[in-house]
Amino acid sequence: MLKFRLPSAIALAAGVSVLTLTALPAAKAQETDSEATGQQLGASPGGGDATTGGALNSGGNAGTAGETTTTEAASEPQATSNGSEANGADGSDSSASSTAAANNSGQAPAPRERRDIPLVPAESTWDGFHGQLNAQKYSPLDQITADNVGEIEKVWEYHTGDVSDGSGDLPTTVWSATPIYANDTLYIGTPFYRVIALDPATGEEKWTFDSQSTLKALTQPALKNRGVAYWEAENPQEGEACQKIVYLGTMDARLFAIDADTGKPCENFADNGVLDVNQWNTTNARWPLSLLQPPTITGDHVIIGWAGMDWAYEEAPPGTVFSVNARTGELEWTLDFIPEAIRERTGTANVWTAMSVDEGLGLVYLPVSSPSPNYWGGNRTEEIPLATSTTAVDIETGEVVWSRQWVHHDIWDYDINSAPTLMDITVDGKTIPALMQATKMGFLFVVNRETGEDVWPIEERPVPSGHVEGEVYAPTQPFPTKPEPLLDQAEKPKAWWLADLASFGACSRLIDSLHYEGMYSPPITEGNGVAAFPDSSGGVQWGGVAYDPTTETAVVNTSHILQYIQLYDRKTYNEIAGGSGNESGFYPQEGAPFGMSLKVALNWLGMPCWEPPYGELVAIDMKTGDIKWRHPIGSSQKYGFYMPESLGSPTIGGPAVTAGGVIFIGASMDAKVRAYSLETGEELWSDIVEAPAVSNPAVFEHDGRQYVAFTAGGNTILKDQVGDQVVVYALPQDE
Amino acid sequence: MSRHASSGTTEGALVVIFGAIIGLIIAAYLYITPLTGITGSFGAILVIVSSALLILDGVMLLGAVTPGSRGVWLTLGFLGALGTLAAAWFLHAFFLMAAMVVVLVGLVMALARPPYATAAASR
Repeated sequence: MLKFRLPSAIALAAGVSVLTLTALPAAKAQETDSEATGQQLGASPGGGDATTGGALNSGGNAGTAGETTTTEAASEPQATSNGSEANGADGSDSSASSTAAANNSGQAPAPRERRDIPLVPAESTWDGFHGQLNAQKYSPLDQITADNVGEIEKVWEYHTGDVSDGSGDLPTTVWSATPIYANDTLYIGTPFYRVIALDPATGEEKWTFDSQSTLKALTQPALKNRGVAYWEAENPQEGEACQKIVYLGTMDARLFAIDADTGKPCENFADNGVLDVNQWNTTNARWPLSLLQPPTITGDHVIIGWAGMDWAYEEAPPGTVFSVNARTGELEWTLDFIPEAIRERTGTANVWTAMSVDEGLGLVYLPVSSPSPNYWGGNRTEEIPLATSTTAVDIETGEVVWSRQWVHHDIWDYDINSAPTLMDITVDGKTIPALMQATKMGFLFVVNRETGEDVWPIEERPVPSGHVEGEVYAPTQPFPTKPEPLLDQAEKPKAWWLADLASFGACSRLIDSLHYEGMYSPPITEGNGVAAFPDSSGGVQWGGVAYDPTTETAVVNTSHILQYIQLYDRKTYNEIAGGSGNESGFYPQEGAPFGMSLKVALNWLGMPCWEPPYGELVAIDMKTGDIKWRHPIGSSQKYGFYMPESLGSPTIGGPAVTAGGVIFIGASMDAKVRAYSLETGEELWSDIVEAPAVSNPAVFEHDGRQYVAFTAGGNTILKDQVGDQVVVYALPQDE
Repeated sequence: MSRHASSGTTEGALVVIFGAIIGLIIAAYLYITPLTGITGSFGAILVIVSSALLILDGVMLLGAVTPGSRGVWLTLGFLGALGTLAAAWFLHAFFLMAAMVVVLVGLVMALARPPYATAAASR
């Protein structure tokens, strides 16, 4: 029987609680009166109105209001949204944290006062996972240009030694760290949870730090690391330790603070340089809050998201983000993404990827993942407005300023998996402070980053329903009208003739057997299940969108992968369940009535059954939202055999763009790093590295010379090839 | 009447062996050396094995004295060389492709000459 979601108002009245401000030590804490802490929430599935509109009119817009707890350090809570009436505390708050009730509002957040901090740093900067806090992955350096990039050569390479192919005692490694350049040093985190400081010009070790962290894949199918973060005091005191700090997270939820000059732990940070983030893992603590993504550093705030174990449990730790003081590790605020009333019977909706920051606006933008379990939502039929969203949060207080939900009642694991790229764009002659959120779905959502409102209309459109026990489907989903989707999710992919021929028709038979009514076809139990296109690995992955602010061109790599999802009742699942890999195989969703499987549509030779291309590099003119060019990227590779580059490759990782008109990117299966023309998309240069380079490259200048650095670590989603190589390129120096 | 391989067959077989040895060395290099793109891959093992088999094929061709055996070794040689050539193309092993072209030239040389010379005919 088709069921519809509770109307927004009922759900909200039931307590859509999203914001928890956790108190600092009592000596500093100061409770304030109830103030509205508003937020605009994305379209409510219950709304069901297929209208066009922004954050304000695309469905239920909820604010949060109520008792908040804050500190002297944090500015007094302000009505950041909409002037809505505060609902007051719900009475459930028994300690330092309080839960806000929600209300509806139809107004934009109050304009924020912009501080005079440019969105794009004036100087060349690459001191974070995405280069800069705006996540543009843009370098103003122009020594290397489209004309001379063909001449660049390897300057040095470094092998960390921290690699495992899984054949021994250690789990396989998945290494996606972007090197960061700061303090005249290149800092690298490793999947064995070490930090290595290198001389940027020569690759010589300056120091190393070993966290001695457990090398068990506690929450992941592999040992993972996406690098380190860097903080520097505003006025560093000469000779004083820890004026510059490198932060490293570990699989077992510890955050290390290390002196960037010496590699020694910072004694004043938490417990002698180690913060146990798992101390805040208090609900459904089935596994530790793995810190695989480096935290986001803005001002003196270290903002921490975490990763967990997908697909294993119905009930899991509910999504949270923590802000701690950069010097002391003291907790400043916590943001919860799941309403308190249902927090115990679901989980995740966490931030496991990078964030972006507009320091001028004082906002951090959080890409929030889907709730658990990922492929069945019968335990979470209430609204979870912040799940699978982009949520803008006040850096100082943790208050939600606006939020846009990109998938309602997500049952496809369409986590928002990359930091939104902040960009100022000129549309119809007006400059708009925008952000672009790339998604696993292959949609690029563009909204005003001050208000969350649409830049180009984002429509709520009806989507298919289903009939799985206990499930309550969202009747509509948001569809952007511009830019066009990165792949066609409306039609089921066709069988690729060559793979079909090689499999004696098995590919076409498989694809024909899969249910598909467009991307939002819900998982089913019957037959071979439902086609997932794009699948949970995207679309776009954590590399996100690069942006050249001078030409207002966005660049993004995408994958076109066909998987199929099937649900099994518990009895059947227990009978047939086999193993699982990285985003493929059998997963129990323990506690839910259904286990599930997720498989890539390959033939017996391992050839993809669906039509190419399998991955593309796409450039978008942000003045119009139109595609400028798109080309297949890389080459798919199996057993060493390369498929023609015209077919492209699935990609993980992302691009960097430079003022020299060059795009640098690894990301492809074939373990090559490449340079493309920003103007035309033409491939200009490539080199073979040790394994697929599945992070963003770093572009930096050291002693007057421009360098491009890649880490080649591999990812088993692409193929079983791992590496530990850091490789740095530059133009030859004149003798 | 004794038979022995014609000089054309002998030369052709020697070229096959030479090309296949070069192919084997290249394939082994590609398998062992870091950053060739196919280091340690199954595909590289495959062309190592096929190159070794082509060496064996050349040796057998050298000793083939009957039209039947010569035909078998030529056929297997062509299949092996063309297969390795195709594999090398998909492996982006372009020097290996060149080695396989040499093997193919050797096979064509062996094919183009009379199947065998008889002692009588040579008198």
